[in-house]
Amino acid sequence: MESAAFEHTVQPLTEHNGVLVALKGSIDAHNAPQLEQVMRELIEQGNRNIILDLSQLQYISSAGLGVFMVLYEEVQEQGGNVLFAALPEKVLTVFDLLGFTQLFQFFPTVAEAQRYLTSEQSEAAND
Amino acid sequence: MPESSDTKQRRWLQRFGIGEVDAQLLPQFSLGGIFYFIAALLIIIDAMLRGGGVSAAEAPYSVPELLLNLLFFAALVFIGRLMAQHRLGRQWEAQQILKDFFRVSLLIGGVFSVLGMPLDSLLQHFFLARMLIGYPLVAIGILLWLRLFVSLLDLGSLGQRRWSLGLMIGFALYLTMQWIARAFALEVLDVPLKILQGALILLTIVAFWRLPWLPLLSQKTRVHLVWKLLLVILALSLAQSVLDDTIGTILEHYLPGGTKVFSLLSVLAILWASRIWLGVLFLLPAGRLLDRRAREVETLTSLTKMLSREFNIRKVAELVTRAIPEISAANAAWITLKDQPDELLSYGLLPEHIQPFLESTALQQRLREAQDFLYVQNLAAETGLETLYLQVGTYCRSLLIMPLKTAENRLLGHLWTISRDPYAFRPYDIRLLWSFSESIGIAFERAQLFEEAVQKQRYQQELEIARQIQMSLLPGTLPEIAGLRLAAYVSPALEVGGDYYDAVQLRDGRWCILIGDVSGKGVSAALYMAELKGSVMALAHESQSPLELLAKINRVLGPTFQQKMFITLLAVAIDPAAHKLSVARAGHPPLLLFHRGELVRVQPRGIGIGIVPPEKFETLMEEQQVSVAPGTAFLLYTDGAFELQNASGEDFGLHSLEQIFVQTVRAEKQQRADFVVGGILRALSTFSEGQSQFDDITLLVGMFEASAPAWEQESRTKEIEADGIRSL
Repeated sequence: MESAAFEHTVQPLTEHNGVLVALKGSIDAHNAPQLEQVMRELIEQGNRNIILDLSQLQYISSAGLGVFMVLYEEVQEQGGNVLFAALPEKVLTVFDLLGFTQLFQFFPTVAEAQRYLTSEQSEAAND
Repeated sequence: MPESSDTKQRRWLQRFGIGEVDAQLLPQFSLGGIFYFIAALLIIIDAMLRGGGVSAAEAPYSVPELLLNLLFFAALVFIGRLMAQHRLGRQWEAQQILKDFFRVSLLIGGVFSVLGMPLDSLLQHFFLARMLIGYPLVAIGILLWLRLFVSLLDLGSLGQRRWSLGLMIGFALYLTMQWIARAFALEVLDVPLKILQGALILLTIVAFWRLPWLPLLSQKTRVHLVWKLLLVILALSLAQSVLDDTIGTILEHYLPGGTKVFSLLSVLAILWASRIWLGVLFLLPAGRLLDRRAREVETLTSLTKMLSREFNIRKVAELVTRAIPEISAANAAWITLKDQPDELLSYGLLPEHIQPFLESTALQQRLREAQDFLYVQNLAAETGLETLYLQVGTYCRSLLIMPLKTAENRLLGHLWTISRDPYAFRPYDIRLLWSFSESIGIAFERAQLFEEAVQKQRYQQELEIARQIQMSLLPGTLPEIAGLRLAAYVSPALEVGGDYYDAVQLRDGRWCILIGDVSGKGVSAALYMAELKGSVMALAHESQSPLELLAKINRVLGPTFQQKMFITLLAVAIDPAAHKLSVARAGHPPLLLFHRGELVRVQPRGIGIGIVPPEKFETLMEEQQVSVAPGTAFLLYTDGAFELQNASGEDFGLHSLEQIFVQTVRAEKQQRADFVVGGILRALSTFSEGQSQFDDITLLVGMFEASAPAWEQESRTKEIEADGIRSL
């Protein structure tokens, strides 16, 4: 199998204390460590909320899913959120089968994910 | 003749320097010898009868004298021809021919001068001494002269064979003409004889001008040659001087003109010997160098041969560093590798010896700047480094560093050669070490590639063993469950992987079929798979339900997983009596059930094993019960079965797998689960068109036996009836 490649763009979401990460391409066992590196750096930079825009993601293997597991644990510890947005049906199926839909929050669009963060923040402010 | 006569004859011939004679030539030599000595004896008798003249035989010779001499001449020609025939037909080593030449020359010198000279007055005055010593001595001496002549032809044939052939003909002509001139007292022939004599001397000089074989001799042989040739010249000069005495007079009785002929032969032989002597003398000073070159060429050749056979870098380095002091001005050598700067490859040197070189920034700087090689002619003057002592006897005043490169010009390391003398490396050494370092570079590269190939092969063998072990962890045969037919397929993958399936009995005796997939690939996935198998075996008997089994597995295995690691599992417990399946799913793709003409995805809630802590895991799981009936078919699979792609990059997808499953089950009238597996695989194979993704696939099909396929409610009643007969 030819090795897959993915690209990522990071956009800061200052009002949400987080980042919007858009992933594009394919993630498999070969480039999963690269994805892990990217995500770790974002967490270490103090980003509590991460919205992942996966609209351009074509394929993700089990090793790629493993990266999000780590992410979940670390963000959870810091009281943050990992939000998945705009997943193509095929990718969503993969997340769903594994049970990730019970673990993370999924949104049809990035805007909805942002709205969720806004409302959560306001709730926290109200408390 | 008795048996031993052959060896006796050979010994005689060897004594005359004829050496090994072919068996067929032996009788001819014997015949010639007998002929020769009869003729010689007749001459002695003749001389005796005539009072054994002290003066030269008077010319012209009388008729009986002429006849006798002619007889002797014929015998001489016969033997001479045999000798020449015997010797010239062979290839001789220069050393052997020279040895032969010495033997004959010294023999002549001995016979004629040592015996002849002191005996001269005795021979001159006493008749009996002449008859008993003089005549036989000369008869034997003539044979020796003949051998000398042949030996000279041998020597000549080492160089210019054509000239030496000309010499032979010229000399034979001279011999004949001298004989005629003397025997018949023909003074007219004197001038042509003088001309011929001059021509022969000239020819000799030409024939021996070049001595191409001389440099090939070892220095030791050459040193020996110097004094041996002096001895030869002395011996031949003395022998020649004897020809003017009584010996010469006796010679004329055998061979009219013999004194002139042999005197010329001596002159020619002395000329030859002198030329060789001079040649050797000129070569002596350069001889050591010549010998060194010869040794270097030899070492280089054998080294190149060894390098092409050796595949171990360390051994290559040892061979090379050991050989370099032998072939160049270097006193020691070592090799450093670019990839392993700490490793020193050398023969007999220790890392601490060369540490100062590696630590010298001046040296390293110059090495980086050097275009190709680096020559530090005077270490102290150029780098400010003191003379570096490596070990006893090995210290460094000049240094030559050659790069070791691959065939593609990639730098592998350096070959360091040092000398205890400043300015030690001359252009010759540099050229030699340069071309040598090229060979080493290529040998190193080859050795590296070989090592990699060996490691890769070893790794592949290990993987193959791991694969075999892994395959043995999967059930060879599936259990016999009343009313259910099971068949499984696991891809004969080239590598180890994380696919798993099994059939185990739960605590209540129900059979539980499991299929699983370890995330990731390769050896780590395979090891987790083995761990999974173990825990399934241990936990199944303690579990009441698939859900409990999965929960227990998660409890046991989950904490052992590395981060990012998880396993998906699907467990299906079968209760044929109750026509029921209990399904629990830990993140695995759903069970496909074809029941009563409909396809159902059985996908209870669940999450992969090892993702969340046990408490959370159990809250996320559920177990689902589904009814089955005779004729119901189900399919368990790993994601490889629907994630494959075809050549144009299109995904197969879960939906396509479902369709294929339905189609295959419908088409399978014999309710053979293995046929269904085969049908699905064929469809997958057709789709992927031989793409490599076809590897990681596991399929497990179960079919509940039916007297008549009840779900077949479509318009194919006839077929159903026909099939019904087969029911069990």
